[in-house]
Amino acid sequence: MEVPKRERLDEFFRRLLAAPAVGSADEAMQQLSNILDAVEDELSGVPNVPDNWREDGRIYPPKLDNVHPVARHPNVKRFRSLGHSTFVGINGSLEVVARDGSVELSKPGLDGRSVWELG
Amino acid sequence: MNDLEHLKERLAVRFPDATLTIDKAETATGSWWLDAELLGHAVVIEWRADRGFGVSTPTPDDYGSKPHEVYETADAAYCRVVDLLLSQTWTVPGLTLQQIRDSRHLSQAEIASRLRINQGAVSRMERRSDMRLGTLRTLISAMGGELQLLARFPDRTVEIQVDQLLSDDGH
Repeated sequence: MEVPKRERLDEFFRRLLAAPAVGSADEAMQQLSNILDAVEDELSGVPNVPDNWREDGRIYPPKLDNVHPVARHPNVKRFRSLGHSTFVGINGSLEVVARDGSVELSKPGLDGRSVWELG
Repeated sequence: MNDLEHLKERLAVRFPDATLTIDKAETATGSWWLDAELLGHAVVIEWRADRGFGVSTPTPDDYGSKPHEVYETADAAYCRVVDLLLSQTWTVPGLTLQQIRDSRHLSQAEIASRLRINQGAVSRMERRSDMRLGTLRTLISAMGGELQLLARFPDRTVEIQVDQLLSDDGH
């Protein structure tokens, strides 16, 4: 039976925070995608069909072509999705921020620095 | 100026007090986004040249969600966004019958028991691609819901009377 989306999201954040820190933006996005896909495969009951462009109840990783630069932070990229932005630093740090500015997740990179400590 | 920028201009004329912000794509295949907010009510429009307009009213749980509703033309998207901002209502993500049943925390066996059919028949109903209206109404009713049919036009949405479409024996 499908686990409610909020519970799956919390489980995804819990696993992502518990995973080892990584050292690059590409590794951070790969780790995020792998963990999210695993959570959704286990708990959502919804097939993984990323190319079907309409809400199907599954949580998908940010699309890599939805990347945006971040003003005054050349070492950070932003991946836009419906209700959130996912910020990724070149040191493997991550931060997920909701539209209202609340931080849902913040994880330092391999060097211990957070996204906004990169400059 | 692309279709989303045109949409923003039309909305700015219609709602001078709305906050309208474009989040443009940096890659050729990426999405453009328009965040519209009026009186604290937010509507997000995602636009891709090859797919059209995705319209959603996001919630805090919408991380990684796809668009709730999809419109092929700028006119249709404009009318829907105007409707959402004026009525302060929410978009409705389409769900499969299985997802609706799961969201009600019901098993196929429980539905089968309520309808006095076997569980395999419920499974087949959920996977059927061309279902009779009466069967759909019965299934929704067994989940505790009531079937409504809506027809969405560019300028308004109307409800279709379900009973009028069913024969005397409910099919």
